[in-house]
Amino acid sequence: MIKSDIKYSKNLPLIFLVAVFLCVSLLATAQKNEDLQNEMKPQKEVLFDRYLYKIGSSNYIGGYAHGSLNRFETEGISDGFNVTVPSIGAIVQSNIGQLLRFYAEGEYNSIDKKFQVNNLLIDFSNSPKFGIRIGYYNLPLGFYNQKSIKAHYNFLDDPLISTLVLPGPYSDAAFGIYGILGGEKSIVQLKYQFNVVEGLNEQILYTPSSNTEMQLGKNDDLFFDDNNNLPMYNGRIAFYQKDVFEIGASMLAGAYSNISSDSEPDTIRNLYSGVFDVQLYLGKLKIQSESALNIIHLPGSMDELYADKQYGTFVDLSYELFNLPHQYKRYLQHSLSIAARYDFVDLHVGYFDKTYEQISNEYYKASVGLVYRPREQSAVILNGNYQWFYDLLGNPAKKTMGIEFGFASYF
Amino acid sequence: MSVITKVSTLIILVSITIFSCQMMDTTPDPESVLISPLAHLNPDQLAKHTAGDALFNKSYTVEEGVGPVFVATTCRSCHFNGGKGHPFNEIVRFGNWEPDGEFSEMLEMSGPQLQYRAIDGYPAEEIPEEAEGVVKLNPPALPGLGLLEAITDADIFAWADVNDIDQDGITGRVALVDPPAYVEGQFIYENIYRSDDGRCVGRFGKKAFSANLFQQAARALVEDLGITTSAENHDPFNWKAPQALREYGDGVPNPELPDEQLQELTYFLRSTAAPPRRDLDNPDVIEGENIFKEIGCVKCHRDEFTTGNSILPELSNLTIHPYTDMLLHDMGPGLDDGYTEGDAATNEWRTPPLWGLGLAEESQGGTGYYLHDGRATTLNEAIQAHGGEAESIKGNYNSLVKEDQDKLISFLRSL
Repeated sequence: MIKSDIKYSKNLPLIFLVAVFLCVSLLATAQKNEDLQNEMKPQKEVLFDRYLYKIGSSNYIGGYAHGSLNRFETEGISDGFNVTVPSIGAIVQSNIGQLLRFYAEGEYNSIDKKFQVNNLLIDFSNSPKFGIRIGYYNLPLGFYNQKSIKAHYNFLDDPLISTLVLPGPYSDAAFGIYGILGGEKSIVQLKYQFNVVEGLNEQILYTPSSNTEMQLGKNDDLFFDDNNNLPMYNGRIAFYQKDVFEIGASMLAGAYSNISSDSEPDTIRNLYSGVFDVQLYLGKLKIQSESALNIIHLPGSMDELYADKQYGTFVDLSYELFNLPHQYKRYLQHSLSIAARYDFVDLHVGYFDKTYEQISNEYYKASVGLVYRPREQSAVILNGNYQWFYDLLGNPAKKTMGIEFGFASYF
Repeated sequence: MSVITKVSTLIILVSITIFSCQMMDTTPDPESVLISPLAHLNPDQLAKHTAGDALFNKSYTVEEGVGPVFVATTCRSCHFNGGKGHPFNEIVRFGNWEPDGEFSEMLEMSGPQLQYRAIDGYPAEEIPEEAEGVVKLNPPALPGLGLLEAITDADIFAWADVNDIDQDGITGRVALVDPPAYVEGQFIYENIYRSDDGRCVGRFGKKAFSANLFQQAARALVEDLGITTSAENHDPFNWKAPQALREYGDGVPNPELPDEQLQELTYFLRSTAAPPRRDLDNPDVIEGENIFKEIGCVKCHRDEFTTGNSILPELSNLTIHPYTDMLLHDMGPGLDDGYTEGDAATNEWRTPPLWGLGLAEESQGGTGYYLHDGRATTLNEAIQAHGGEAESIKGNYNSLVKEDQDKLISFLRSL
């Protein structure tokens, strides 16, 4: 075992903490401006549920970021404290007349050190009941996938299923329809969205982890040649009552295997990904949960080595401990919440043919959090988490412990 | 306080408590860690070991040269935690007998190793109907391999007893193999033995086919992963694949792994420490070791060597307890799969080191898979499968009272 701590400036954590509080304080002060607050009201449709500044009569701009001071330790080995700002995003929206909207959202990912487009679309909507959109946009594969901007959330890391089982955050070239059926006075409204999408490619199999990884099947380029001339299909329907519950089911299905033009056509192989999500609001208690299942048709000789089924779930509980009385909310919206999240991911569901033993490759994770929100758009978050990873054979778990203190905010 | 409030607060508080209790430590018990670097490596040696460790755990992709046919895409998946393998990733080899009585590796039919997985669009291999000998091999544990390589040829010869001079029924013999040219210059010990016809001592592999760890690493890369090196520079293939596919192979120019990385990988294997012993003060373990010696197990599972002078000083002049004599022994018809390689007969196997045996299950998913093909799931089953030269020793074991048998097993589990 090698134990090493990366040396860092002793003042770095202090500088970071001061910067966080200055940042959050400035944001909170700025947002006391009532006019600005009104202009930053979120819009209804999930994709447009961002906090933006209005410029002129029909244009909006905004941005978001999150960062943290963190320390992780695996098997007793840690590289010490690190300061990370994983992503900074910018958003531009322009309404063209009453019906058309242009929306663009880009993000600099400091881990991959590249700029990526999350959304670049034109949206046509005459009423909340029906809209059409085309472009490159974030797809509704589970609820969290579309709400993954950390300012909305209680944890600085993503639920494990969103990145290990699902290819989240997943944006792709697509064409689709969406809407909400039932008026605001209805007991239950029905949200729907269906998209025809470019889809994932066969890189889900040829992965550095030696296991099926949906994440790696995403196409890096915004505009690219199709891998197989066949679309995938994506959709989500959800029953919804504002501030009470939302229960949704979503899927991604279609051919992922490549067809190469310079040799015999490969066999078409499909993947199916289904997600069931629930959000409940019980007074000060909020419960958010998602379960996902992938089924992948594999080349015959890849059996056992790669997963043809993957499953994962998480449950996130958050409870608001403190909130300013209603009469003060006009000026300030301080709130303090505690949160807990349980993650389970089985990256290889099945049994070994030769021994009939269960194939493992499982993650378990418990996370706790303390979240201070000076306003709805900003959060200061303290997280701790502990993770157990069991390898393919189910050998004694490799344990990882992490603690993170950071912020997430629109700006 | 409402019921919901109470329940939710309770759940979150329990979570915080569990987290607080668990976050204290993630360090595994050192006695349970099967593979680790030699304790006395200097920083440069440790850096080289770490580089090799990273390659060992790296998963190779098709673009990096995996295939076109293969068994696994990473070394790790055959040696989880550096331990023995699991039947799901077993190695299968085949061959047949030539009219002149020589055993053929059936190279023209993609032998001797079966690569039962393939990259997309390329057919995986199947065992040819012509194969007469087929063997399943459970990948070996890795700890202490460099220490075994640093044992001198003279010391291995000294324990051999081809003509059974001591008349104990044990006739271990040295495997003499004809090494490929690339093995020259890759030995780490002095006074290398050469027979009149140029053969040298075989040490690694179930049949002691490989002369050193460099050869073993190069062979495993190409036969298990389909990764070529300058040493083994031809991809494995499926002889039944269409000619165009065979010529295209995996589409990656050979060699696919640079020499420097092959050396780092080899150094990783050479610089792993011997597995940790446990329960040394346990009276049953102490008594079990005495029984192990008394009934004759130690005649093949030799308990002590001293390594020789090595060009790697970190491996020189160390006393080790591997519980192997590095010799070939006739293990009887029960363990004769009709397949062989190198100098060994089909019923001969090199004595496997027993160190690390007690931690084997923790790298095999909780169930032990012992013997060359993992057919035994308990140590007692493994002992009962011994035959040939070990028949009388097995008889000694079976004549022990149950309590003494348990003590011997306790000793084995402490290794």
